[in-house]
Amino acid sequence: MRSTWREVRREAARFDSGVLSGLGPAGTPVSVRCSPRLDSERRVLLIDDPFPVVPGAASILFHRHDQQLWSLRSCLISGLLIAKGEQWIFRPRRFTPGMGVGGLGSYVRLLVNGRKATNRYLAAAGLPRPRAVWEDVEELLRLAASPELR
Amino acid sequence: MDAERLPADVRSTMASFLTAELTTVSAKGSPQTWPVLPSIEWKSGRIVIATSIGLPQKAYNIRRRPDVSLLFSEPTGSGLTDPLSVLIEGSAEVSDTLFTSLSQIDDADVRAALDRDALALLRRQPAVGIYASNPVARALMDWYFFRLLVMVTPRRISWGRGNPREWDALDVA
Repeated sequence: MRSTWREVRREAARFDSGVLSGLGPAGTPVSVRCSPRLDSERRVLLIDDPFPVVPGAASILFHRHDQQLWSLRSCLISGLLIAKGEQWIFRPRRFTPGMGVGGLGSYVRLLVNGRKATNRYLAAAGLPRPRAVWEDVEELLRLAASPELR
Repeated sequence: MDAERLPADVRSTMASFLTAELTTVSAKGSPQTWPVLPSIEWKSGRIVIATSIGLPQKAYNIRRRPDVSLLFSEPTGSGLTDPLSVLIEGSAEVSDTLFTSLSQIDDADVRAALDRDALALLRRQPAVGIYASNPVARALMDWYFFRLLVMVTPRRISWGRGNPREWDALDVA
């Protein structure tokens, strides 16, 4: 928990807002952008925004990108949402780093985990490893670079 | 979904935002949200997401429990000056078959939507070509191009600014 909270605190401080997700009264997922505040003493996040969900399992996604969809940074914090009057208290339980968290290591993690997950998926589905159609990727790149299409 | 029923600013938000936040539900019942690149197939009103099997958790979650939500709330790069937030609640399906090229997608409208947005993305990010630039990069990153189709069918669309309890909403199922 100490390590989870350290990561939550570090990442939450980088963002003005995040996406809070929970389950609505019908049990289906609902999300809203909110501005959580850190309560370091209690190791929780406080959310003043109204949110039409039931208390229980919830998550907060922090993510950003730039105008060109570069400079990605994201992480998911899973936890428990508790109603207290008009306020929500979010108790983090698990921190999952996404793109950009951990610097260069995040890209190595993406590469290694992506390959492992791919191998597991193909094995479980009994599928042979397909071949990426690089000619089509090159054609899309050529079209995208074509000035008449801009 | 008949897209014509949606106000113009809702449609422009859905069409212009570069990312949306897709929420699926894990086996333990916890909502899991990650950013995705949504493509709107306006003819049927479905939202299409091409997800790599190297990042398969959302596909596993949807196959177990198809309820999803898709929030458009990050306007960076959209070009919109006073954008709305749009929340889509609905159900999703994941294709059984993999595709490694858009040309392998049978549904012409879905293929056109993905093709349109892939071109738009590559115009913003020509450096993505590094994945295809040499044999080493191709060997390391081929999995990124092994994709499943996630098709989101909206049930309810709500939109607004500020308090979500005061947003407008439309049932579209």
